[in-house]
Amino acid sequence: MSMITTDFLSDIDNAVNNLDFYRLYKVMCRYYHIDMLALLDLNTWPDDKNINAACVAIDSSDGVPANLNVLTISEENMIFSDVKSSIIPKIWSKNETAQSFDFYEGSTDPCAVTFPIHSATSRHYVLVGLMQQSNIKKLPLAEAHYHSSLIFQKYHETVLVPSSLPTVTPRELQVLKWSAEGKTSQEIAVILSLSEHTVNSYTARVQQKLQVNNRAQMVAAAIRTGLIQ
Amino acid sequence: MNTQATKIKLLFVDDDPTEFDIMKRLCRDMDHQKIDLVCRHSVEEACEVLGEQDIDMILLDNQLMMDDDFRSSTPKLRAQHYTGPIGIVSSNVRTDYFQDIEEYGADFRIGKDELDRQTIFYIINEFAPKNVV
Repeated sequence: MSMITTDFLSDIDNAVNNLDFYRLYKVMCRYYHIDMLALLDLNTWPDDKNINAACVAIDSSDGVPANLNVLTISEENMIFSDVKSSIIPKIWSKNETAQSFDFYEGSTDPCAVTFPIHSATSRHYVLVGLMQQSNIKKLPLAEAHYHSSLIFQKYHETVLVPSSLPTVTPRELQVLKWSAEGKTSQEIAVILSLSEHTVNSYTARVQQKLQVNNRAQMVAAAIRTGLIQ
Repeated sequence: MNTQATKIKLLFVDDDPTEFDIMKRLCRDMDHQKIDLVCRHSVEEACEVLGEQDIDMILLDNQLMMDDDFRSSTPKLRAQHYTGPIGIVSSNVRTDYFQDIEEYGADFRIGKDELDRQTIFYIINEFAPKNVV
């Protein structure tokens, strides 16, 4: 058990994309016997009833439940209302979980564990775990909270809000320059021997860093700031 | 996640036939996802496939018999003007050079022991185009 922990902690620094963090959360599922872990963005809830899941990792033999990427949660939801104003991890009973997670079609009668997370930029997330009652009794809550915080910290600075990074990387600059030449993502992918997905990821990161919403604005902002001529 | 059934063509490159059997088992009977699996033993064979078929995603064994690792094999696939996602499958994905994966044209790394149906489903949703059946 301790070897798995050491392994997944040492891999946090190497995580660079969504899948790497999915892998980390999945290892965390296996280590703590959690059926499902979901990292949810609570910033606009309950004004907006839809909560976006940044990452959902499932380690269950029940198969793949559909559509957990966006959850529609009413403002009366007991667990989410509590988490919204809380900073401490908490374990929830079967009954409380059943009332608040009626959308989950996975293992029967799970209990929930919640880890509220506040980012350095005052964004509010929660890591929700669903697990069997027999396993939740053995869960070392403080240790699991610490591990979830370590993963989140890296996830936040690497993927969720990369604009907190100070500079544009050489690869991002290449994508920026070719975008300014009017090339499409597919054309840039061929030129740089990358996938279209990677090119789109670089484009999205640059747009976040320059705080713009589309390619035209990105190119204009890059020229204004002297990134490209 | 998409609740409608989607279909993708997946090219799996590995020099070990046992891995083909394992992958076929993982890919069959998936809810919400149809996978047309094409298996090849070498990068050269994979390049031929890329010239003949539209491939949505490639899973590439890191250490193929004739190639050192993904740093030499991925550029050969990209040289075919393939712009879809390439994932590197390895028994050890924690080696430091995996941090430079995007520099060599690959998109992601995944451990052989980490591949299960849920993870494949996640990877397809994250990286591959979604073609509703």
